[in-house]
Amino acid sequence: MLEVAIIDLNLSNLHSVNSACKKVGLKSKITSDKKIISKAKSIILPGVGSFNEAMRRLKILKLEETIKKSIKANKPFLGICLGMQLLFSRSYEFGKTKGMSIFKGDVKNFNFYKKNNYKYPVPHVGWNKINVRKKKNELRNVILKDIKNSEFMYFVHSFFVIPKNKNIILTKSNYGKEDFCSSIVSKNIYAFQFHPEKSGIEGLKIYKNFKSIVKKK
Amino acid sequence: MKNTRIIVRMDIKGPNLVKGIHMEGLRVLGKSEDFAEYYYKNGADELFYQDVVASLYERNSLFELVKKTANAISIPLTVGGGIRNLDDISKLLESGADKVSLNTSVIKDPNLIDKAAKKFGSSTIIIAIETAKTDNQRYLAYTDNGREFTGVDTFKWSKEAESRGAGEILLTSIDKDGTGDGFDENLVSNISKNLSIPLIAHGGAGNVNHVADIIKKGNADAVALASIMHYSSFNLIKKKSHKLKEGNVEFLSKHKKFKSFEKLTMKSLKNKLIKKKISVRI
Repeated sequence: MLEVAIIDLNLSNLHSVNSACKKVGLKSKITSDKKIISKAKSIILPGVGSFNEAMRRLKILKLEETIKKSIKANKPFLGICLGMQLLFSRSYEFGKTKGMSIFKGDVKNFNFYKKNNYKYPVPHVGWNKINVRKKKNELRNVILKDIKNSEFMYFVHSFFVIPKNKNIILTKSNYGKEDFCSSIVSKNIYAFQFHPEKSGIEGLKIYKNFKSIVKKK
Repeated sequence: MKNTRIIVRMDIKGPNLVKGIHMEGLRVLGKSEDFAEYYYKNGADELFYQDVVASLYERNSLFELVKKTANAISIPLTVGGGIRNLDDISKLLESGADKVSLNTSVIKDPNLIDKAAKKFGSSTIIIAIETAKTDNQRYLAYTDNGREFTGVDTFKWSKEAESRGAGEILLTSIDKDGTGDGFDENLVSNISKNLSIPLIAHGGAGNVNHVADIIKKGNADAVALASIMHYSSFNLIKKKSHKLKEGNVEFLSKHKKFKSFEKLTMKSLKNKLIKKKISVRI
C-alpha cells in the first residue's frame, strides 16, 4: 500500500521531497491522480510557485475535495511551503485569491525591500531558526521529535501565513521586522513554511517523525 | 534574523572537481562527489555545481553526477553550465538540482529568464553574471565561463535580470577569481544595494576577513567560496582521489602549498564569522 502520495501540481521540482521520503523509508509516489491520492495512507502537498496558479491546478485536477476528504478521514497531511499557504482562506499574491480554507487566515508578503542599509532581501532565501511556542512544547515530541528548539531550517519564500487561530502555530521565525508563523499543527495536519527536505540532517528528522505518524495509522 | 549563506562553489569537469585562476588553467582537485559529501557534512549551507566544460559530449555524466549528489546530500544544490532552454532546466531539476544557474543563454535571449521564472518559479532561477573591469573602470559581462566578451553592462544587466524574474544573482569577479586577494567590494556593494533580490558574491576569498568584509561592507547576502574551501579540504579528501588520471592532475601529485589562502574548514570559518558578529547557521 502506498504510504505517501506527493501531490504534483506540475509547478515545481518534487525530486527532493520524494528523495527525502526514500531516505527515511517511506513508500512514496509523485502523482496528480485522484484515485491514487485517495487510496494513499497520507498526503504531502509540496510546492514553490504562485498561489493562484496552484489553486487553479488543484481545481482543474479536482484535487481540492480529495485533499479535504483525506484530511477528514484523519489521514496524516504534510504541507510544505506553498502547500502550507494553500490551507488558508486567502492570499494577497497578485490581488486576492481564495485558498482551500481549511484554516482561517491570510497569506501576506514581506512588505519591505533591501534598500540602502536595510539588509533583508525578498524572497527570504536561506537558513533561519524555528522557535517553538511554549504552549506547543508537548507537540515537539511528535513532529519535531529529536530536533532542538531554535534549530536552523532552509527557507525560500516571499509570503507567509497569518492564522486567525493562534493556537495552531507550532513555531515562529524572525525575518526583518516580521515574526512570522513558520509551522502549524492541528490534529493530523502538519505544515511548514520551510523545506525540511533541504534542511540537512535536522530537516530529515521531520520526515522520519512523519513516517512514525503514518506507520501508527 | 538574516543568516548569511556560505555556499561552496564547485567547478566541474567530467567527474572531477577543478579550479582555475581568473577562470583559466583548470587543475583537477579530486572527485566531485567526495567533496560534495564532505562539505555537506561539514556544514555548508548550499552547494553550487558549475559545469565548466558544458559540452554536449559530457552532458550525461553531469546528470549522473547531479543524481548521485542529490541522493547523498539534503541541502540545496544549484547546477549551472551549458543550459540552453527550458528542456535543459527540466532535465537538471529531474536529476535532483534544486535551482539552476543561467548565464550565456540568457544574455543571448533575455526572454528565457521570464519563461523559466514563469515555468519553474523565480526561486529556482539564479542568474550568474561573470564580470571584469575594463580600462575605463566599467564592469562588463562575459559568458562561456569567462571566455566570451559581451559588452553588456553588469549593473544594468543585474537590474534587468531581476525585473525579468530572477530569484537570485550570482556575481563572479573574473579579476578576483582564484586569486585569494579578496572580493571586489566596490563591485559587489554597488550591485547589491540596487537589487531587492539576494546577491551571492563570488571570486577572491582568501581569508576570513575577506569573507567578513564582503558581508558587512559589501552588502552580500550570500558568499560562494571555491579555492579557499577546496585547498583547505584537499588533503582530507585527496586519499580517495589518488587514482585519478583524467585532466590536469599534475597539481594533485605535487603536494603544493597554497600561500594566498588561509586554512579553513566550513566549521572554523563559520565560528570565526560568528566571533565577528556575523550571523550564520552552525
